[in-house]
Amino acid sequence: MDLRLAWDYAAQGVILFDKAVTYINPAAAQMLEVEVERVLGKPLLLALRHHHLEQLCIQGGEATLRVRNKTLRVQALPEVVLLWDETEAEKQKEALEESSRMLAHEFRTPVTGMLSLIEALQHGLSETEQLEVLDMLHQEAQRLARLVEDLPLHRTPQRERTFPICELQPRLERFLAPLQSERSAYFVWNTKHLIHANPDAVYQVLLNLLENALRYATGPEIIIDSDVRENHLYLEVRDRGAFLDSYESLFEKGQRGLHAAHVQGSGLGLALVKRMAEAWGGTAYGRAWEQGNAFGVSFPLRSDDARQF
Amino acid sequence: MRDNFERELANLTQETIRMISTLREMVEQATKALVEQDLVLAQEVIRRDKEVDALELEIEQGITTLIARQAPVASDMRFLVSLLKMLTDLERAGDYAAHIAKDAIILAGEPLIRNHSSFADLGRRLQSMLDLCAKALAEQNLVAAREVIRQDDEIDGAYESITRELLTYMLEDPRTISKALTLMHVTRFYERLGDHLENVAERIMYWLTGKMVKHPQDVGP
Repeated sequence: MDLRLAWDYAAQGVILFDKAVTYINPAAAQMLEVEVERVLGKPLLLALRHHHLEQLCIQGGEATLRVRNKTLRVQALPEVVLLWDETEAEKQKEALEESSRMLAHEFRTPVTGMLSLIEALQHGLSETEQLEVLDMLHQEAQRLARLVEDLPLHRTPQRERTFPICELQPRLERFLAPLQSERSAYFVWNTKHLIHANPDAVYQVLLNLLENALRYATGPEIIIDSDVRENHLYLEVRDRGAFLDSYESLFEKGQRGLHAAHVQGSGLGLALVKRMAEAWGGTAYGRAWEQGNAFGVSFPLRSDDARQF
Repeated sequence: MRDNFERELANLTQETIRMISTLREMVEQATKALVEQDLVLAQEVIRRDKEVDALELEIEQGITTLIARQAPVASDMRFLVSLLKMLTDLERAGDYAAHIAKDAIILAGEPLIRNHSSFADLGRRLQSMLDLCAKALAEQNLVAAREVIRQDDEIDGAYESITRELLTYMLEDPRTISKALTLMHVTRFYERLGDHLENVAERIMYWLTGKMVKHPQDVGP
């Protein structure tokens, strides 16, 4: 009896049974969402309401099972079942795995670009071109170093400053030049605003949006446009191509559009764009425009932001 | 004598809970097969439908034998008759889970025309309804039964919204008609599955209260 009193306060779930249920402690009742007095003396399955869990209890052993949308670790001994709720630990594990995938995506783009620059160096360039490529490699390596410093994830972007958006244009143009030439595409920049943000974050957002446009658009012209409306600055990339069926869903992890079926990709690029936009208090969006699709982000404006020049 | 009868009633309840638990797993797997385009899982659901059918026969036989041997009356008879009716609904619900899996096989390997997350949501809602059906039956819990009926209204709402959306796709792009029609079938299967679970909840309420619930206003607070 004393032992049962201790079990009443235990964090782990305890169920005793012979042919029927003889005891369920409050922790087990909570995990299994049962009203104890209604199932005492009844067959075990009436308390468990989960045929795999019942099977495990009868046969004995250990397993982790999903029961009533919870992750339960179960240890079944003769006539005793012990339960541990591992739902939170499982969620944390999933979040960590997701973060790793996101990080891999963030690193993959600059590393791939750097590799193509190194290959260009290996194939021989003029002295001026070599210097230019080395400068780009240096800038990308610095950006990677800052990315590493900004770990752990979910940190608000640091190093915010006010800068003209067009400051990012030369780096992006040069970095995306191989893909641009492969797709015979060109960029049209209509970005005449100042912005207060972390330049690395804005660079990463534009890099992802421009890469997507280069991969999926059917027309050669890609427009980068900034605009100010209702206390927000909007920065968007417009391409010419077939309209998409849905935009919002593409910002979810792992979601890719119908037109992306034959193009390699992880479906993480727009999810990252959304995460970064939300980190600076803005939004990420997609929409159809007269001649194709537009994807962009918004920035909430401070009173001294977004001056035209 | 009475103890033996009580034990047999509890065994029949237990086997019905087993049927509901199997069905819950089938709904979960069918939805996953559809959303993640998993052919193996879809085939597993189709195979498991036979398990549900076998359970239905077994429990039905148990009920008829018990009625013949014990000649139950009053609330015991009401319970057995309700259980008999519930079995038919649960068996049909299993068929609909298998239908979803069959359409998942047809749709697998083709690009999606819409985000399938709304089907994942429908699947989760139905699993919740099945959890509540099992709770209502195992614990004689009227509140859980009422909640099943309330949740079916949400399924009906989601069904209408997805159907409207699919119609829009078909009107905008005739190339999507074939796939959209299959998805309409799938949506309908989810909705019908929900209706059968609502019937199960109504049978439980009849068993517990002696009153037949057929209209939303009968559900009570």
